[in-house]
Formats: sequence, C-alpha cells, structure tokens
Amino acid sequence: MYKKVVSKGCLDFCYMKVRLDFEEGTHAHIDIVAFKQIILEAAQSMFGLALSCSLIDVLIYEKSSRTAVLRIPNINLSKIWSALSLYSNMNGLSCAFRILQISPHLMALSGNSRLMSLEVVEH
Amino acid sequence: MVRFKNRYIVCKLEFGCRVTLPDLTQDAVYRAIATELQVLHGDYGTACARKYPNLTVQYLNPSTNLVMVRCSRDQCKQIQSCLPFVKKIGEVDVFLHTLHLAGTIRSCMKFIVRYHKSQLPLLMSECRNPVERKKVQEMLTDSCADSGRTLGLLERSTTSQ
Repeated sequence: MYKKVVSKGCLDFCYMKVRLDFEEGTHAHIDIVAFKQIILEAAQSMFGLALSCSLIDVLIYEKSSRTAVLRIPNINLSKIWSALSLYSNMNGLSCAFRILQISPHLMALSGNSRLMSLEVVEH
Repeated sequence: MVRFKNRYIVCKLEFGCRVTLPDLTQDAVYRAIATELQVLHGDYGTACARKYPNLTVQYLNPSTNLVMVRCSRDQCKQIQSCLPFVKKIGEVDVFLHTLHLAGTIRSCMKFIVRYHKSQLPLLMSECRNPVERKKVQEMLTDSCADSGRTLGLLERSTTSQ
C-alpha cells in the first residue's frame, strides 16, 4: 500500500555523494586517506579551522572512480558544499569536485535512477 | 535607507609583566587580528571582514592598553571568537581581554571613561612613595570634577529648543 512520508525538520546528518575529477590525461592515484585530506584542505582554505574541525566522515570510497559518500552534520552542509565547489587546485593539479547526490537518508544513495540503463532483449 | 549595523568591541591588551610598549600602532593590532581571522575562518572570514562595515581598529590607548575594534554585526561572533586566539602583536606576546561590546561608538566611549575612572583607585594601591600618591589623588579629584564635563561631551545636549 502506498503511504506518503513527510519528514518535518532536518535530521542531524546529511549524506553526500561526491566525485573528484581531474583534467584529462592526469594520472593521480588517491587513496581514502588522501581523499579525506583533500576535503579537509578545501574546508580549511575556505572556512578555516572552524569548519575543518567539524565532523566529516568518508563512509565509502571507490578508488577507481574517485567517488565517495560523505557524512556531514546538517548545519555544515552548505559550508562544506561551497568549500568543495570552490576547490580547484591540488598541488598544482587542476581538479574539481562534482556533487552527485545529497540526501538526509543514506538509503537514498543506494539507488540512482539517473544511472539506470534499459536493456533491450530481442526475441 | 537602513543604516549599517556595527558592533564595537573594547579589549584590554595584556602584556603580562612587560611594561607598556611605545611602538604599538592600530595597524599592528589590526594585522594581528586579521591574521588570526584568516587561520580560524579562512578566506570567507577575511573577505567578510573587508566588506563595509569592515574590521578596523578605531581607538588605541597606548598608556592604558585599551583597544576598540569595529566590525559588522553579522560578523561579530566570528571576530569575538578569534580575539582570544591572538597571541602576538608584532613580536610581542599578548592576549586580548574583551571588556565590553556595544552598538555605538558613543556608548563605547562612555564605558571607556567609566573604566578609566574605576581603575584610578587601583592605581593608588600600587603607589610606592608620597609623590606618586599625591599625583594619583589629584587625578582622582580631577576625574570627579571633570566627569560632568567629559560625559557632557558625549551626552546629547539636553538644552530645550
């Protein structure tokens, strides 16, 4: 049966799916520790120590596509979002963060209809 | 038109056991606060402090080590949070002790006058010889006699029109 769920007020945490893109032809190997370091660097340059000391967790990290799921407190969401968006240079390499999805529920990041592909089966 | 909302913070510079430094300038104090703001609140904090009403040191009293800092009302919390982290002005160890927060220069000046007056009796206990004691006593009586006039400058004129 269909049931409408309306959540009022925000939850404590927000989950964010981000991808780190480099220029074409750059081969950068970034592991989970370096990835977190880059995020903290971005936060610190934009909003200083006040933001970089807040909770930023990397829950899942996929090394091949440099995609990660972050868990951040809801009050810092817009700050971290803007810090990541404005980050453009990592040790002289041009890079950019792409924010793919944001949700207060982790479950919502498990599926993405935008990535769905239809398979045509011929009989 | 809406006027710009400012906040004025009165701080006392504590040098520990050092004597008052003669080469203390408003610019040096500003730079010390701005450096700390950059570390604590990053580019965003620094950029906000440069937008009018920007962060400025409005008043510095080198003999009593009082400093008045102006900032915008929105940024007041940020500035206040970085004041305790200021550790050096130039090459000198220092810390800032926030005394008062006000919305206008006028009320800040009133506070400064009141503060200076309250500090005079404390000077009395530090006197070593009768000459110093007499000098402070004179200053005390002067301040009592002068208070009406000093505050009169700051008070709005109450003459009936």
